[in-house]
Amino acid sequence: MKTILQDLNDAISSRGSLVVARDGMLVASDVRDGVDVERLAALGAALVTDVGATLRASDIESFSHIEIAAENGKVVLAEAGPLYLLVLVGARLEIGPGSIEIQSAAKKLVRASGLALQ
Amino acid sequence: MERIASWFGGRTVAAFVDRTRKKLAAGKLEEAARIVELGLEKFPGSSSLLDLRLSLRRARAHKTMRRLEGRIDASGDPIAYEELIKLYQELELPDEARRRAERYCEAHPSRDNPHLVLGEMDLEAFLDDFSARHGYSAHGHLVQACNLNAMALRPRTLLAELFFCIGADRSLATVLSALRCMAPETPEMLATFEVMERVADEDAEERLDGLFERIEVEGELVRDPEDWPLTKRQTGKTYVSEERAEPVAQRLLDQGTMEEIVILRRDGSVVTHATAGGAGEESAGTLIQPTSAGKTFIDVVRTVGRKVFPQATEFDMGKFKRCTIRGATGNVVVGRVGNVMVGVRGARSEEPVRMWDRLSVALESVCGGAV
Repeated sequence: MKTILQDLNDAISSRGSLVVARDGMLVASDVRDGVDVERLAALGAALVTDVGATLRASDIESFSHIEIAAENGKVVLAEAGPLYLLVLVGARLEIGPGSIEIQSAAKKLVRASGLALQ
Repeated sequence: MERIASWFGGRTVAAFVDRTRKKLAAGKLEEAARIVELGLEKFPGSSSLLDLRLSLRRARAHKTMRRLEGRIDASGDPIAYEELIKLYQELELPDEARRRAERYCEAHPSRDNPHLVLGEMDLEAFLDDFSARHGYSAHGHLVQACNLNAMALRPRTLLAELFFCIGADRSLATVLSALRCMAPETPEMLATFEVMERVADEDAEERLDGLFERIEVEGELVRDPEDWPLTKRQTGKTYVSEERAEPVAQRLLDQGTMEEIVILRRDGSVVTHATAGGAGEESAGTLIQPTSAGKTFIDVVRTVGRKVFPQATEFDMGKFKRCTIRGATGNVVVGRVGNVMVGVRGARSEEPVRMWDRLSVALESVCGGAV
């Protein structure tokens, strides 16, 4: 999984990416210097568990992705089978949850998680 | 110009955005800027057009930035530092402004001004997000600015503002006596002294650590910054009129593309909660306590505002725009509009950014003075 994250970070010049389980547990990460992996994992956990729980209670059973957009960057959380892929990207407007690189990495993670479970 | 204006008569926000992007792609910055301004005349609250305006201003300021950076690299000119920091702030690039101010601090450690700049940035950030981290940092830089310049008025008035807002009344009394010795007796200062005298208490027990942490946890200041007479913060914020927000939300729902709208105050209490068809509405002013059995869309908005946005500020991404959630049964967008947190839910087919644009434009129409 680490390799998938490294490849993704290289492909879109993201500041870091990680994989979180549905219970918010950190599974794998690859972040550049200056990004605190603990804090990024805590954000991932908050999105998956806290926001996820309120969405379910609000009749939105599942979410495919979440995007937090700011002036100089964004955080993208994309569904990857039983896991979630979280990516911290810079100010590149074209990078979003629908971008090919993120979707491709999510698919690879699905396959990797399947192998890991066997 | 007139030709452009007539072309856009009766057009939507999307038409202005598309046309501007085409001009931008063709490198025609001036024409793009004119179209954005025309669009903003018609739709002053459109977040897409405001974003484009900002991008254009940044593109046009590029040369000035490079020139100032050159002066800094060549001679470490403090005036260039200050001009560049101001430019970054005007272009809404707070992280760049902060980084440059920190370098200014390192390059000129005996100057009080970089500490004043950083202190004011942190004070504004603290008044915006109530984070103890910003509170401590504001306090530290402003105290340092006072120590480096015994006669500087501005860091002392900012320190007084911080103490006033957090209820540090003993510290406020200390700053008051210092200000009395040095400040001119202008009407503004006299009004400020009057406000400070009403609350300052040199015998009060206080621990700043506890005060900052308590404010972060409670999500509320002890006193409203609006009541501080000296500085009206130029945060560019708009204030949504609570009375007029509810009919606006209902009108948007009646158009049929949105299913639910929630508007919350900073403390999480509800200004408006409206659903298509009218079921499940909450009356304005109700503070809904989340319960395990009764979580609603209000909790989604509250969770994003209280947990996700503050955590995401740790990653140096600048000012937040919005949080978009795409689900199997619908899309949700949560963001801040002026003084309120707004959430909207729509069908899966409804494009979230367009939904947000319509909402922000509509709320702009009910913006007014301080709430």
